Amino acid sequence: MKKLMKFTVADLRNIVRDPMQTMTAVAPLIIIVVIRIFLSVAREQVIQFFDYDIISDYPMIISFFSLLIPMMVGLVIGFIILDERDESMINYYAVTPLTKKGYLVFRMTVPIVFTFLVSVVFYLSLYDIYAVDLLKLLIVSSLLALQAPVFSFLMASFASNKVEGLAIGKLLGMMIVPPIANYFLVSNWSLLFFIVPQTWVSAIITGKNIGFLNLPMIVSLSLFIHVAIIIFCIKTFMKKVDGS
Amino acid sequence: MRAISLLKHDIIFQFRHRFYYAYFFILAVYYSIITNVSGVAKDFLTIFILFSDTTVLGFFFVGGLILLERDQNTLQSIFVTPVKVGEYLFSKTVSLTVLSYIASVFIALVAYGFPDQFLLFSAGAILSSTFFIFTGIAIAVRSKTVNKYFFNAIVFTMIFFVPIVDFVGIFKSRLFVVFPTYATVTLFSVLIRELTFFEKTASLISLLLWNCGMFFVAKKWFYRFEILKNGKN
Repeated sequence: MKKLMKFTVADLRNIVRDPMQTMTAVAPLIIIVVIRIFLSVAREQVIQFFDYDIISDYPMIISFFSLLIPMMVGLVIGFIILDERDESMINYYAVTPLTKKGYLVFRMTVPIVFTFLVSVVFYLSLYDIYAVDLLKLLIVSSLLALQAPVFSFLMASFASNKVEGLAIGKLLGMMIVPPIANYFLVSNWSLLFFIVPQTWVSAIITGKNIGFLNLPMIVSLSLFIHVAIIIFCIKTFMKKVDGS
Repeated sequence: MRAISLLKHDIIFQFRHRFYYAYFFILAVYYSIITNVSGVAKDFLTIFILFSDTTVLGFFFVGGLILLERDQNTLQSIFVTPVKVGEYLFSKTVSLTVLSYIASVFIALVAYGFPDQFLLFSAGAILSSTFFIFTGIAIAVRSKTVNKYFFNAIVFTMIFFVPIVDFVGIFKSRLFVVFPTYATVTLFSVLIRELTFFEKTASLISLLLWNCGMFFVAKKWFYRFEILKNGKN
């Protein structure tokens, strides 16, 4: 516990020093402000151009913006891991009392806790626009929290250096498309979108294409997808670190 | 000749690092989106994708390339050979512009078929891409880690993306004309409307001037921070 605390303090210092990490820490607040401006401007524009009121789509739009939180956190942590691996830092950590496992646990828990708290704040601060119920809020925030390590470890396990990390980060950015597609398409094929973790969050909020499942099934299936991806990535990642 | 050889290796390197695979997949996603919308939404989406993704693609990647080459001491190895900074920048810029241009043309073809004013569209796509790559190089040489590069890059993108509020129609101002990205959006608009002679020439001149300015800055900073290694870095 004590060594993890030391690591946390060192990381906090790094966060203050590194402007990108500071920005990730305050970015959710910016997202909340942006979404409020966006919703009011977009609504007028869409009514003017398309003669359509997007007020019924607010849950989808809000869930979409909430997906950006784990994405940002995950990508930043992913690049830190890649930087640390490019500089062989992970091998140094491995011989300290922290051990390689401790390093992985650390790189996972901090983003999970951070994303969870921020997601709760995010949905609560938009309560006047979209009144989320408490149970949904807990489920959705937990899933969002798990998505942060999904991003960072997908990146860390598939990229062999930061340049590949960029290409893969770009690809991972496309993971926000399936939740939107799932919202607009009604077909049996849309079940395929549920392979992507992000779709679960937006489907739970909007209730699209998910009506035939009851709540315990939704929770267990979505958790399964998230955890399975994380475990798979960590295994691949460990192989890569050991191999290098 | 040296420049051509550098260029060849840069393209192979980018291919090996899955840039082309990544964009193949991303373009497939955009294809399925664009072919499923129509009317004003399609116009808006197409210009938005061209503007926010394919054009700035090089900007996004060049930072990582330079940072990795610096970390692996490739830059040192390159510059003990007769390679000049200009040739190195040429190679980075052209290789990434090739990918960016292919992606832009693909999006335009999917959305509207072969553009009537193909040359004008191409000029817009290429000049905007090179401008963003020069900017990326200038930022990269002053950033120590990828995350720092992104922070600086995001600040710049936010400034340069201001003209999008004019395109969307939220806020209109003549002052936007000075932004290089205003010229980009104007030249891309050739896909959806007729441009006046003034719009065409003003946009081309604006982009050319910004390109010259940014190239000058990128080259100067690259020499100072990567070759001489002056200043904090």
